[in-house]
Amino acid sequence: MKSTEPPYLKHLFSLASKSRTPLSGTLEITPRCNLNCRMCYIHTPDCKEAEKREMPKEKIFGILDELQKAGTLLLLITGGEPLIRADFRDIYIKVKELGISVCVNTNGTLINRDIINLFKEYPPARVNVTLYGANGETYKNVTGVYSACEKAYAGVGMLLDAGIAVKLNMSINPQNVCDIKKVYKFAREHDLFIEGASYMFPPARSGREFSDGDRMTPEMSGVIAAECERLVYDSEHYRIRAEAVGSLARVEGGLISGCSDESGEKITCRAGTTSYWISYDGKLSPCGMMNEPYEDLLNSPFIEAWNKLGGKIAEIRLPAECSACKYKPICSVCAASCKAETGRFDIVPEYQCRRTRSFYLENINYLRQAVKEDE
Amino acid sequence: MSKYKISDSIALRDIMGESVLVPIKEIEGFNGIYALNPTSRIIYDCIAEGKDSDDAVNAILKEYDAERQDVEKDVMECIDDMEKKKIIYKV
Repeated sequence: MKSTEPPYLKHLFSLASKSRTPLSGTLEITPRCNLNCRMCYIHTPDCKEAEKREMPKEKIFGILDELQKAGTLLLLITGGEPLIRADFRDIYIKVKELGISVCVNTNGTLINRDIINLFKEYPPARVNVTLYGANGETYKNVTGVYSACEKAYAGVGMLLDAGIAVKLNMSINPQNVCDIKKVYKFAREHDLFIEGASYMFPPARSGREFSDGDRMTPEMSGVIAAECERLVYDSEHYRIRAEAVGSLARVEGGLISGCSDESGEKITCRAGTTSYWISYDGKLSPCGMMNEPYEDLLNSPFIEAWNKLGGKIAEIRLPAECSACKYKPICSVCAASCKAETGRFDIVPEYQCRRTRSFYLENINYLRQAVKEDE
Repeated sequence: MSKYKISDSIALRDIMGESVLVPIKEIEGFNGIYALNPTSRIIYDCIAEGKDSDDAVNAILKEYDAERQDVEKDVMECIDDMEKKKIIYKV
């Protein structure tokens, strides 16, 4: 079930990073959602004010034309829940007709016959469905909507029956951690790649703050990150990975996502160098988890905004302590998490530190137990 | 000599000097992207201009120092592959 970036895409990203071509982007078309997840980074129950700031499709079309000319090949459409927009079909077809390879993020509950027919006629590269649990009660506790569980799983079923590529995500928090095994089992049974997100960014974009219980403690988050790996890898492969983590060697997966910084103090992930995020109200930023830096696409052509953003990103410095930290190879600290956790790019986020140490210890404990069992 | 046309369900993207085909509408068995190397790009352009496989061979021989029969074989293999993937179709 492991997914890896195809070699040709790696080659394109390598070229793009030399020329600072905006090869890949995320287009967030709405902050609205039909669910109300307590840990959501963007949604609030009253989105009427935010809805007024949503870009109309005509503006989105203009931006799409510009980003295509600038070299964007890969685009992720997201929200909120993107299917909630009445003009989702128009926006989606526009992206496809520009020759852009498109993925769609969704909670799966609004997948219906019309959406399936649209995706059959204009196939997405992939649909990423985020599941929040394995039963209605869990869904109610996380999303506020009991019936969303049945609809989400039905949505996945409809996509699979139609032959559309699906990847599963699971946003993990204290209310649904009990369902991880069942959700991963569902993924295995349907031969689907699944990525569990055990780290929830503080909801800086929504203007809220976390309440107690909205996300796991950092210690629990590190333990769960390790458990998610054990649910995906067989024992032999997991042991190899645990040994790598135990010796503090960098290994893809675990806490390290595809966008994590590799080394040094400057931002070195793809955000802002080969990839970008466009918010529902027209802000171009390196990453959707950051409120700044950004450039305003409502008043600037895309390429001009992209170039200016590059200048701002070059000034970002991550915490100096992180460069020298022995846990750096296994830590998922990034500019976005520093900013979201502390309000600054250059302050060490304590949550990440504790999470990483917990993940490390969980792997060490696993290895000790494995050695005992071998004896 | 067979003539071919490019499917109108495909878009050609020129990005950073790379030629990439991206499906717009459903093409059976073809999802993701398809990279054209320099010679397959020449073949693709010839087909897009309404030329036949012989024209493609001559165009490649103008660019590269190679034996004609080798280029003919490569052109036919490339055309077969594109036809199997429904990037092009016979007219």
